[in-house]
Amino acid sequence: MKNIDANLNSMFFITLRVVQTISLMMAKEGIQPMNKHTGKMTFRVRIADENLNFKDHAFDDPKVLGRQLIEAAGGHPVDEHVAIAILPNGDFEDIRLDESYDLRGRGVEKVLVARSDRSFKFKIDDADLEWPRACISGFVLRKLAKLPPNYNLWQEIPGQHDKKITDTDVINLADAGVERFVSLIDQTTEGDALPSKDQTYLSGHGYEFEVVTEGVNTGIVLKGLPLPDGKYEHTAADVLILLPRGYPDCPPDMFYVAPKLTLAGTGQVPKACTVEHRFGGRVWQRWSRHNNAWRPGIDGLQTMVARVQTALAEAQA
Amino acid sequence: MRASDLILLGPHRSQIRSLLTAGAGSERSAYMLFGIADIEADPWTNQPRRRLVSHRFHAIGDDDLISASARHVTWQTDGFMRLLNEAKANGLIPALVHTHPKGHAKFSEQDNRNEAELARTAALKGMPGLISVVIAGNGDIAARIWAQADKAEGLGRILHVGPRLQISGLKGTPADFLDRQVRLFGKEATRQLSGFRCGVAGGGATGSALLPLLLRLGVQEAVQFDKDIIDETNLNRLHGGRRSDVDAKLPKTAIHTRTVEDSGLGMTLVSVDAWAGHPATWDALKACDVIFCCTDDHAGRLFLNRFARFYGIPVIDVGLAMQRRTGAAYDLFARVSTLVPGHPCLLCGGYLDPRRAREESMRRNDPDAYDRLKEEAYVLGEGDPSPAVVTFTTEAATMAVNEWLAGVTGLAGEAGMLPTRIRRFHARDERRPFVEPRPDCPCCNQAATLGRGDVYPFLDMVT
Ligand SMILES: [Zn+2]
Ligand SMILES: [Zn+2]
Repeated sequence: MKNIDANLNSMFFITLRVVQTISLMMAKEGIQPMNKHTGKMTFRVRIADENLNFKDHAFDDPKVLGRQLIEAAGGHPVDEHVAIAILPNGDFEDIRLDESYDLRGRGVEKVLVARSDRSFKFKIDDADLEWPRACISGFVLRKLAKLPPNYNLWQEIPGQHDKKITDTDVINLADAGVERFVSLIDQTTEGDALPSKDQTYLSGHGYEFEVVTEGVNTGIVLKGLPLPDGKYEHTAADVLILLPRGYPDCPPDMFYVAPKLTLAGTGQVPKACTVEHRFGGRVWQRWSRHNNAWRPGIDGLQTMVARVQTALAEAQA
Repeated sequence: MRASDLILLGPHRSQIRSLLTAGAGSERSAYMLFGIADIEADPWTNQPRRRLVSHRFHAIGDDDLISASARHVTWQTDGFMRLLNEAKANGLIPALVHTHPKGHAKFSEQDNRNEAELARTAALKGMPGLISVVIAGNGDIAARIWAQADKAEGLGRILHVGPRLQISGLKGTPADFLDRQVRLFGKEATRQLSGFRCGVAGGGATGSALLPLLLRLGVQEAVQFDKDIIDETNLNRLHGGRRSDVDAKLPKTAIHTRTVEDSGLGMTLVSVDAWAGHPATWDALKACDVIFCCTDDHAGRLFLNRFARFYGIPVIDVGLAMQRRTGAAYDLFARVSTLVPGHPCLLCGGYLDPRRAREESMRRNDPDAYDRLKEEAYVLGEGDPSPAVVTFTTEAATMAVNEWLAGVTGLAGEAGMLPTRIRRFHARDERRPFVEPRPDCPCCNQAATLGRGDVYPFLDMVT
């Protein structure tokens, strides 16, 4: 029971992180008015066909009718098609043909248009989803589920063992009993959370942080750490500490900073900070500071944060 | 409901026993919390299994004791709700403990009625069960779990873990081939040895010597963890290894499986094709009653060092160091450490190097990053292969198994297993280094980690 809870927890944790990342991306791309050379404000919407191929479309008004969206995607005849808004959190919402839908109001930038007279409902984990056609591929299902690469999707088959879904599998949602898919983390690349003591320390001291896993590596990113006054050409930076397997019995080694820091005034790079390191989709400046004194049970992220702060305060060209 | 068994750790057993003294002839009661070790598929039966590991003892204050005699104990139960809340918040299972100073370790009708009521409350609070433990005046212990409010199931099998090791509730007769062993240790101790489910982490020199010893001692269920393929240079010490195995590139586990099968002695040996510590090994490790750590890597040791603490499953660690000093002098050491509650861990003993463990993990999991750091001279590096000779690796394996025998049979006295023995082959002697656990060491000295069972992240560490 506990184990299952723990797994669910981990899934929840990871899924949450992915959702956050996606909404972050959306906020950047967004549906902000674009100033085109005409000088007119337009609203960009990405409209997908049944295979989830997205194409950009522009509207002059953020309020569009369902039929306009279908027409824009070339759906004909219009009343045999359906438009579904994909909300920023991944939920779907039907747009009726003559409904005036405020894309901006709901933060919608993606719409699905497909030929259908009805849609098919199913669940992935506990999320309710629908699909405008009877057939769906494993690939599209995975896309809808927003599964990280280290997750597999399983189809629940009543009275039998669950079936693992591959990208090329085609599932008929109209079949009796096709109702639920369950995502499961792949055992070999288990995601990692933070040991409880560090969790307590970081939250207790008001640090904003994120646990990032890439392949087999786990890192913790401390966000917007203030830098010593006037020392660098930046006032704050993110700090990455890679946590080795076996942490907290095993010590972390160096730390990493983004953006790249240079000393104020001279613009010089601090000593032993020239190597770049790619992690979690960012480029980090490696601070090669080694200290292998480590007391398991006593030292933790608070030790590393102290080391980081000392290094940042003492850095010289 | 999945089958359950109990792991009762030495410090908790002492606290349960202390109720007998405190009661001085009349009944006493207390609460406990148990950690959960869920096994998705037991390596030998392939069935799900749940183990309950003693985590904490809660005394009931004198103020809460209402009345007690040799036949009853009545106490105020406000503390019970606090216990349930603590259990719920931490994913633990609550337990009741009481004594039968004059009677047997058997639950009475009165016990049934009282406990059913408490079990009902526990179920309402969302507990997966309520454990009940009773200790008789003679020290016998019985346990059961109320998974539903109206039905308790016996927890017949209890693994007692400390410097002495014992499994209560075992049935069956020792196999006939063990006759000469029965003549030394007796029937009961031999039944015990056969009943232990043994894990062997590492199938190299030491593991290959150790597994056949377990086989000859009558062990019926074992699981081995290794990922290596035999090579030419293993043949000087890998028991069971053949030249043809090298040509066939056989995994070491396949060689040991052949040894076990050819013997026809009834052992079921399961192989897990991974290094101890890999997620694929967790389930099988949790299913063991003792684990022999025969790996030569620091990362696996570091993992098992913590594992022993969280799951209360004894780990017997074997380490070897051999080198030739300048001139004619040698340094030849074999070390055996037993990781049970009360013994200092390998980190506190300085027997493993966390920095090496970090580098080994990186070499295994992220070889590119490892190579880059090696080029920059930021890692210690592997260096040349270390020397190894079969007589010493084999003797180290024997030392480890003998330590387990001392724990089960008491052959070296009531105190059971020693924390650490170091044999110096070059000096023909044996040392018993004194190690003090570091204050707050999570692997041997923190109450919060003892018998904690399943947590997320696994072992509260990065794995
Ligand atoms: Zn009783
Ligand atoms: Zn320790």
